[in-house]
Amino acid sequence: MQTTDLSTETLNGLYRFATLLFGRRESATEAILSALRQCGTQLEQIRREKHSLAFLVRTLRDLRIKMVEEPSTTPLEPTEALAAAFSQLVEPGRTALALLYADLFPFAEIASLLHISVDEVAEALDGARHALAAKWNPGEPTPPISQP
Amino acid sequence: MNAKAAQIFLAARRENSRWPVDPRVEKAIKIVESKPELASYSAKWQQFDHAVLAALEPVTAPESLQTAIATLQALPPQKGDWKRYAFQPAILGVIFGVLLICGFGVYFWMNRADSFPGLDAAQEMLSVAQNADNSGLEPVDKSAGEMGDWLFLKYGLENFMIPVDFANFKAVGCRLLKQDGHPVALIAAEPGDVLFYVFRAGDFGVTVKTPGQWHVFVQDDWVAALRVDGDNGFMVAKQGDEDAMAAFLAKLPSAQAK
Repeated sequence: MQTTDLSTETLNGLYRFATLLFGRRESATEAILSALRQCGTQLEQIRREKHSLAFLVRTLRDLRIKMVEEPSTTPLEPTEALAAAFSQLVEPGRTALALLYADLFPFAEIASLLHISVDEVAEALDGARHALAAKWNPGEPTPPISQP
Repeated sequence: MNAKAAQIFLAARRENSRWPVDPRVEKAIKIVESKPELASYSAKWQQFDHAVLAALEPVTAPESLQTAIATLQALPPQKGDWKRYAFQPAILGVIFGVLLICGFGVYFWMNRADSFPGLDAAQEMLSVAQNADNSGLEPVDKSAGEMGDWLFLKYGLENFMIPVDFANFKAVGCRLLKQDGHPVALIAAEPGDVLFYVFRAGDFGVTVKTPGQWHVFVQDDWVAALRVDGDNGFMVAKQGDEDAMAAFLAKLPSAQAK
């Protein structure tokens, strides 16, 4: 796949997904480029955009799991605060909820992508949403997110 | 689906999604909406989702990212940079190919007695290949990766997808089987004269301990490898033994990437 063929909607979705996973927009950009470098020629061998996207999403998730977290020390604007809180959720709920909000895949395919059942992905989504609500309140000021 | 399950499946609701609403989620919404005591719960999370999506609205891929992607794709591989080539998946595949085949061989030898719920149904599917000729197959000329869409258009089968590893195989024939009243898509593909079976795992009670992992079984002179991802059941079958299947699976892109 030529990644430049990604529709604007899909690329924006991928960027939102990465922002939620990595907690910062700058990190999202770096992560997407890093994932593309890692996927390399394998992406070119995959014909369907959806499959390429799934491959990229898995690579981004692996990168996030391996990432060493750094606590934020500066006050955050609402979107950054959301992303920072989101980034601290646990797997598989974090990836599942990020995919749902980014609208990259339908619900059943999120389960398939994460290799878990639809019941398990529903529970993971429910848990992640509750955890996110405990960390991020859109109606309140946004102090720096501390590391758990 | 009871009220508790409906509350959980409600978490998979995503308003203004570009995808059709999943039937399970649709059912959950109806159940929750029919129970006044759950109305405030539903409204609370809808409000929360609105806030999240509003916060995400300004997050769009920057031009710098698009430029960087284009630049990355335009970069030619540097000649003489052996390290760059050495870590290409294809080269790694060659280097570790023999080791992988040995590894798969040992693995499948150790799992000869591998059994799982639904194995009987899988064996019944495989017996179709053993007992039938190719006359019942409808000729097709597509890549296997395109067959998911084809099956949807032809038979209305949703999510009957071929795993990415097999996307580049060439589908030459297809037949829709009915086993115990449930659909099974049988696809003949090349190279290797292989057969793909695509089905809903839940229809046949097929459950495995490790989703996404291959389960190999032999039936007479045929060998099959089955995996389950979510509710998607997929089986690839060919003539030969476990060693032949191990070698076949070791050549798949995902195996070579490991």
